[in-house]
Amino acid sequence: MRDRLAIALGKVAGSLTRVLRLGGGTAIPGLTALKLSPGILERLLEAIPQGFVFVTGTNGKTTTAAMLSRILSAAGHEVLNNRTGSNLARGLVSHLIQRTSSLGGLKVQPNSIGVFEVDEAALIAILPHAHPRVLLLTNLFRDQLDRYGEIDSISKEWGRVIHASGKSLHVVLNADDPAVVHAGARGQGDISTYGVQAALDARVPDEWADSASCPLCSAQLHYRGLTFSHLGDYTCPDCGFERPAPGFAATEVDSVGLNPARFTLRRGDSLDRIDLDPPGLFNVYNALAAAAAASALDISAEDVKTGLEGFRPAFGRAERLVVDGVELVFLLVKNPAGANEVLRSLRQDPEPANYLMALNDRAADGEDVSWIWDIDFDGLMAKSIVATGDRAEDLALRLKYAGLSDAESVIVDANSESALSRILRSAGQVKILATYTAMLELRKLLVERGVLDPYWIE
Amino acid sequence: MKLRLGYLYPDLMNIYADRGNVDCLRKRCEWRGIALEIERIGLNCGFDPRNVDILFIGGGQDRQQQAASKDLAKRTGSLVREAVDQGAVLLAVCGGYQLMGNRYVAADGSELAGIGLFDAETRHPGSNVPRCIGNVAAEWQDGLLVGFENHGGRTYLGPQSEPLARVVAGVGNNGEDGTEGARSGLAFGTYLHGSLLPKNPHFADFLLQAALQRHHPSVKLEPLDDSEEWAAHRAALAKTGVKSR
Ligand SMILES: [Zn+2]
Repeated sequence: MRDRLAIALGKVAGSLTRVLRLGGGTAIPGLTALKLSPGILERLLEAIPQGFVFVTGTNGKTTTAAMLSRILSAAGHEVLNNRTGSNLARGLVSHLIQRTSSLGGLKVQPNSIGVFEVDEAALIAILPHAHPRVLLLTNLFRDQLDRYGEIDSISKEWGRVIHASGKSLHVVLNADDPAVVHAGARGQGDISTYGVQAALDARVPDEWADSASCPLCSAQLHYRGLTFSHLGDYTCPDCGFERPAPGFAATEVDSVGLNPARFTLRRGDSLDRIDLDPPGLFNVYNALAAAAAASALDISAEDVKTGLEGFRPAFGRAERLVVDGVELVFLLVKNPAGANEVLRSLRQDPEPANYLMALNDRAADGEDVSWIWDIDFDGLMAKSIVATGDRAEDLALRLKYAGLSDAESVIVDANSESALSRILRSAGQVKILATYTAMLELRKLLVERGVLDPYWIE
Repeated sequence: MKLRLGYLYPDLMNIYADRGNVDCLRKRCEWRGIALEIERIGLNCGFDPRNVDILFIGGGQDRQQQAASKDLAKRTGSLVREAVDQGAVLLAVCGGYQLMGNRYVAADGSELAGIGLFDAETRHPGSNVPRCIGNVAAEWQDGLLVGFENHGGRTYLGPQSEPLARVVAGVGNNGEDGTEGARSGLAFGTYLHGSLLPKNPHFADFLLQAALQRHHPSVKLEPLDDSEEWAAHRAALAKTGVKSR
């Protein structure tokens, strides 16, 4: 009864904000309903017939959740997802409320299953009140520390809530991330692991890497091989903590520049060649994560392959668009690890490119822009660069110290509209690197020019 | 001509891209034909205090900070003090700054030893008290410094250390006495990251000039074209609401 009232009022609050154009319409219904009935999230989730999966971590949540959804659809499930920016409790409730009938019941089919991305900090509050079948942990990178706090404390808190979830929780974790293994291994139920097993150079982690010390004893980890940042095949020289052998491994990885990534998916004795559409090692990780989670849900290897190969990149993840003969490639950058992986791909392209780089410092981007000093711009081949966004000047200064302003012209234009016009005058391809709100802004401008569909889902 | 920089715990203490400060010093030397040799000083490494002109230490997470504190207590801390006594310049940012003080007192009362280069003590008021996060502007002897701060601990200076600067916008050391950072001789500590030096070229050159003093007292640094540096400085200052002067 209380839930029905909460849902009804949540819906009313949602339509009021839309009608009155107050903005923030995605959070309001959930916020209202949670106020009136604090247990509502748990009960709405329990009503999903085939249960649900939580996907959490710093990078790759959105893409991994989308890949997993694609696999589950291929297997004949109806999949419930949450939309961008709503990966906190209120966003989840808002989303589920939209799917309720006037009597307050969830309108779903018997084969419905949920795949929800959950903010890595929010997981700590949500998990004790939810019972996912599978919890998928992607990675922990430094991301907008001004908002979240530090990697160690999140890893510790994850471990606590995962342990408290008991035996019914199946944890799927990235074996290549020491902080994730440390947390996920506290699970009391099944644990599946995934990782990249390709021939890798034994290297020392880059200085900007986030978590290259042992989560148990703080010694510097030794890496037999690194993929990027602190992800790889590690072992602690002091206490013996080491990477568990991944149950789902990517071998024979073929990922060059912005070309589609290909890899062999190995689980036990079975091998599957997977041709992804999106590029980069990051997406190999995302695909592995989705495959491991799908298997935890008893999905067949065939459906996994079909789903992964049918997947197309979402908003800003190497998505392409042609405007007036200029091809735009959208590359969303949110933190040093993600940005460095994008730049690594870009350096593999032998042709110098035109770049539009946009740095904002709003809440969703992180107000602290110091992280750009952890991005390796060195060696980037650029014909021209336009720097824009709230912190265009910081970006231009970073490019100067990376040696890019010596050879190429860096134009600073803080106004995104004229920056976009400027770069559209270049011939050939333009690569757009932008932080979250800067990307939204650029897309809005393209919608206004009538070259982009206004409706999109991340 | 060359200068030697000792980079303390580069793998542990770089939470806010503090290495940008080292990049900045290296480039500003390179542009003037000065070679800046960088020695990375990790755990259990130690270094020759006669062999460094500049020391730099950035900030870390709690666990990394504890490892650094332990290592400093063993031998490296006395080497750092010796180097500074012999005329080396030191810049310590955020967590590194806290470790250069007398001690860090956690919210539960447990203590992390510092090396006492600054007469300063940092106390963490507990996780229920908000962290100090945001853009900062502070008045330094030769102009404004701009940066970003993000720290839980509050630092209080004793009589032997003077503040590096006076807060104009933001929190600084503790939000109570208007001080930001510390200075003892040629050692400078600050909560400003950002990275600090690229956006504050006057402070970067001040440190380099001071580092040259010991072996090349007659050398005066040539001015550089700092238009991008000052543009970024002004943009950061605008964020704090403080007017350019
Ligand atoms: Zn260990």
